[in-house]
Amino acid sequence: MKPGQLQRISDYCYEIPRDARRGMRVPARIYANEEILRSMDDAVFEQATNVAMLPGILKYALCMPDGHSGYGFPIGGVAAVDPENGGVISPGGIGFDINCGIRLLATSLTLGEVKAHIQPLVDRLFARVPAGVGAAGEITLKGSKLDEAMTKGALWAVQNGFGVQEDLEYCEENGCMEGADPEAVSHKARERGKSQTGTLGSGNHFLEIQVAKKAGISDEKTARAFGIDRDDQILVMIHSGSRATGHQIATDYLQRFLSVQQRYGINLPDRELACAPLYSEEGRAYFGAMNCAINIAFLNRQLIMHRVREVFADYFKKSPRELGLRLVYDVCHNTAKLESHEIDGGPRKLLVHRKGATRAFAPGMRGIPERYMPYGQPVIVGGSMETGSYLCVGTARASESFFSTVHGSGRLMSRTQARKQFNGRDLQRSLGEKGIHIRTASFSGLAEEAGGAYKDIDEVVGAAFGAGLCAPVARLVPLGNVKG
Amino acid sequence: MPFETIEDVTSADVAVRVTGRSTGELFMSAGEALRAIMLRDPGRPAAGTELSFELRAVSTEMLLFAFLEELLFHKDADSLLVIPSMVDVEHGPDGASLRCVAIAEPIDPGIHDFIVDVKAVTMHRFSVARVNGVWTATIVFDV
Repeated sequence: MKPGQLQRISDYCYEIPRDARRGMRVPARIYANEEILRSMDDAVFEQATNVAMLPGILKYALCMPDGHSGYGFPIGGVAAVDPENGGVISPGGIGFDINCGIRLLATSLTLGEVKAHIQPLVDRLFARVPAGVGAAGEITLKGSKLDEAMTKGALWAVQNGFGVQEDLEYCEENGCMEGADPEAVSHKARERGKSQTGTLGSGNHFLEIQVAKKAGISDEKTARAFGIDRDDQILVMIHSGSRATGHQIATDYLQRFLSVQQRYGINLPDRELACAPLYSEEGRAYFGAMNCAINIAFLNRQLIMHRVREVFADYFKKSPRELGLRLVYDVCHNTAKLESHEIDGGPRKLLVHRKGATRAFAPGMRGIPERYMPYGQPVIVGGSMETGSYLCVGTARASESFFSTVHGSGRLMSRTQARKQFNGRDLQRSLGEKGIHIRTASFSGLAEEAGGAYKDIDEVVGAAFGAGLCAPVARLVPLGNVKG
Repeated sequence: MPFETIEDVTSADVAVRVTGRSTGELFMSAGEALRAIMLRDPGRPAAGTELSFELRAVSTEMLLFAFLEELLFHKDADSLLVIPSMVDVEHGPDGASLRCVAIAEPIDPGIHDFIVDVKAVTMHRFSVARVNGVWTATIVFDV
C-alpha cells in the first residue's frame, strides 16, 4: 500500500479502509501530515493493517505521527481491545523492551550556572551510570528480592533509599503497576536480567542534560505547573526500559502464544502478533509477567535518576533539594494497560496496547497527579541528541486515539543507512562544536542515532498537535548526552 | 559472506538473510550474523572457554529461534559472547535437535566495540527454507 491509496480524513489523519485487506476487523488510521506520511515506509501501512486484524480490536488500529516500521505492530502503533469480547494480548503489540520509557527531572539551575560545567557533568554521569552492552548495575536482584522488586517497581527503590516518596507521585501508575505476578516470570528471565537493573542499555537509550529556553515555551502556564518556572532552566531526561528481564519475558510468551493461538482460533498474517485472549490462562500469565517487567523498568529509571541526583549533588556541593532536582514525570512507551474508555456512550474497560506510543490523559482524568489535574498528563517526547525533545500535555481531543500520542521523533533511516551516512566520532566532534557534549559506549551506535536518521521532531510534534493527540508545552534543547 | 542485511523490512530493527549448505552451516551463519550486527569488528574469538549446549524444538525453524535466543541469553545473563565453532543439527519425527560447541568469550568494552545490543529474535518474517539445495533463513532482530 502506498500513501496515495490512503483516504484523507483530515489534514492530520489518513485511513486504510476496513475492506483494504481481507481479515481486517476495523480500519487503520495513520496520524501524520502529508510530508510525514510520504516519509513513512510501506511496511508501516502493512503492519497497521495486520494490527487491524487482532481479535477484539475496537474502532481503529492506530499509528502515531512518529510511526515507523518495526515487527508485529509498527513503532507508534496503538490498539485497544475489549477483553470481555475475546480481546487479545500480544507481546508484539508491546515490544521486547517492555515499559521502555522516559522520565524528566527538573532542576532549579539555569544555563548560565551550568554552561561551563556541562563537559565534566556529562563525564561524571557517564562514569556513574552504567551504559552499553555488558555493563552491570550496582545491585543484583535475585530470588525473593527480585520478586519484591517486580511487584513494587519504583516503590522498591524508594523503600531501599534510592529516591524520595514524592518521586512515586510523578510516575505513571505511581511507578508501581498492579497485577504483577512474579510466578509467571521464567527462571531464564530472572537470570538474564539479574545484573542489569540500574543500567541505561544501548541503542536509542540515553541520558541527556537539556535546557528549556524562553523562546521554546509554547504554554507558559502549563510549563510552570510542570515545574519549568525560570528562563533557561536545566532539565535531565532519562530514556531506558526493563532491560533483559523484559526482553526475555516477551520472548518466552511469544513462543508460548505461538503454540496455543490456534487453539483459540487465531490466525494472523504476522507471527510476531502471536497472542491469546487476555482472559485465558496464557493471556493472564503474560499480563502478570509483563506487569513485572513494567515495574522493573520503573525501578531501573528510578535507580538511574538517583545516580543523576548524586552526581549533581556531588558536583555542585549542594543537596538534591537545594538543586531543585524534582521529577516532572515518568511515562511508559511499551505497555498494554487496562484502562476505562468511553465506547458507544458508556465507559468500558479496554486493554490498550501502546508500542512506541505514550499515554496522554486529558485534564481531569483519573491517574494524573493531583498537581497536574487541571492541565493534563505530562507527555515527554524524546528526540535525537542533535535536534532536541519536547514536553507536551494530554488534551481532551485525544479520546479518539484512546488518549495516546507520539513518543519520539521516529526513525527516517534504517540503522544500516545511518551508519553509512554518519560517522560516530565526526558526529561527536561536530556536536561538540555546537556546544553539545557527547559521551558514548559505542561510536558506531552513536552514528545510528544521528539527528539526520530521525524525522524532524518539530514536524512530528506539530502533526500530533494538529491531530489533537497532545499539545506542546516546552521545547527542550540538548546540552550534553550520555549514549548507551 | 553467509549473510546479508535486508534493507526494506524494518527501519527500527535489523533484518538479515543467512544461508548454509546444511542446517548446521545455516545455524553457524546465523550466529555469525548476530555477532556481526552487534560488533564493529567481530574478528576471531580473542580468549575464552569452551562451552557446549543441546537444544530441542518442534521444527528446524523453532530450533534456529531457540539457538539464537540461547546466544542472547548468555550475553546478558553471563556477559559472555558465545561464538559457535560447531553446530550439529538432527531432524527427527518429533522435531529437531542440536548440539553446539562454542567459545565463550567474556565481554570486555576494551576489546569489543559494540554497535548495538540485540534484545531479541522476532518472529516477524522469520523463516527457514531449503531452496535449490541451499538452506536460507530470514531473521529480524530487535535492537
